[in-house]
Amino acid sequence: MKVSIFSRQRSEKASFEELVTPHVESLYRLAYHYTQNRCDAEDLVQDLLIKLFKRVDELREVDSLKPWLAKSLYHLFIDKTRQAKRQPIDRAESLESDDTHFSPHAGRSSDPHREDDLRDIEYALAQLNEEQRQVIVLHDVESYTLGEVSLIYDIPIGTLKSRLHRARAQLRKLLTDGTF
Amino acid sequence: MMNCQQILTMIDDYLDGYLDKNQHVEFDRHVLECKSCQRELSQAQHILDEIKSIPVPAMSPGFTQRAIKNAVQAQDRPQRRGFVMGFGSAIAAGLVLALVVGGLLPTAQVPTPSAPQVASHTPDSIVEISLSVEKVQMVNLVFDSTQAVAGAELSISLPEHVELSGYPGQQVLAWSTDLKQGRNVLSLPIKGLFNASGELVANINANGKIKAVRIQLQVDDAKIPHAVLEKYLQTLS
Repeated sequence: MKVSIFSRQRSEKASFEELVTPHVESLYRLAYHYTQNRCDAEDLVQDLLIKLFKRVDELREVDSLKPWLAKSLYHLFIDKTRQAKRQPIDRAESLESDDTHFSPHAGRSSDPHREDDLRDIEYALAQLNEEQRQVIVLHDVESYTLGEVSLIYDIPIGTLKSRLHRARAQLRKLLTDGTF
Repeated sequence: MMNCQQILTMIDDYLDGYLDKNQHVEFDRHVLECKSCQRELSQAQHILDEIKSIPVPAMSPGFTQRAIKNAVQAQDRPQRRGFVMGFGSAIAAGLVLALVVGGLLPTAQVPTPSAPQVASHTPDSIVEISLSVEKVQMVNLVFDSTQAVAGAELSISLPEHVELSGYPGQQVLAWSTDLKQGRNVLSLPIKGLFNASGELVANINANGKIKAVRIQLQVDDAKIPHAVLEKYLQTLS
């Protein structure tokens, strides 16, 4: 039947759309934390969706889609970072100014004191090591549970909890010492 | 009764709601009476609130719908591009490969197979095409065949410095397609990744007979692809 091919295609698209649409924004936010750039974040999510559409049947079987998708996004980001390192040009450079310190963004405060606080927090976050920053971003900024973070990074919950507490302690130290 | 040191180690669990009921009551009781721990708790709460409110710029308008649509289209692309050839006897009869370089097109746009510039060359020679970094350019392979063939197999092998738009990181793509008699077109949206030169190899397997077509892809931002094409066409006329 000629129609069946197109019906299946429509059905897959509808199913894919239904499954991923609720998660696109949270994926984008995670991608932004990884890439620090809106264009790169959108490209990363786009590439992920292209890969995932081929696996729509698998997606239907996933119990907890949110951490599963976040894990897929993280692995794709790692792959792309490795690829970029092998290339002779710096593809991390962007023409779009997405600098969160000096350009106005939606949701950014117009209160100069609040802006200073945010800048301090972001600067302090940048002082953490990669592992600490990852757990802070997922757990504290994006509200993933420790169980979900554990699924995403394949790290035991106990280890993550210790890491989270150490990261927060360091942030508190950095921010209260006023060294920057 | 908990002491201050114990309280300080429990602040994070308290803020995250991980304390059990008894611990929670003990914690509250201590903090109520201890100014120092009140300050520590207040400070930790304030910093956590600040972290939670770190802003992220909004996605561009319509991104979700656009991204899903692109994902679906990327999946369809090889089949819809309809394409290629009719081998079997075509190989025996001598394949004529025509090559078309179109203008710059957006990633998702499906090109028309009837692009105006068509340059023929023999299969044994290698054609060079210039591309630009981070720009998608349509490279159309046009094959003439003397008869239709069902289930011909095609594979495209790309050098590392380019990628097929919509298939990032995939250097080899393969699929089956039916070929029609006469002209068959395969349009490849190719994006240059960095300046380099290398061969795209298209392998066609029709009824067990294999033919390879090689195209030299030169990514060099200093060149203007269309001008290069025109120059190339002039040399053929």
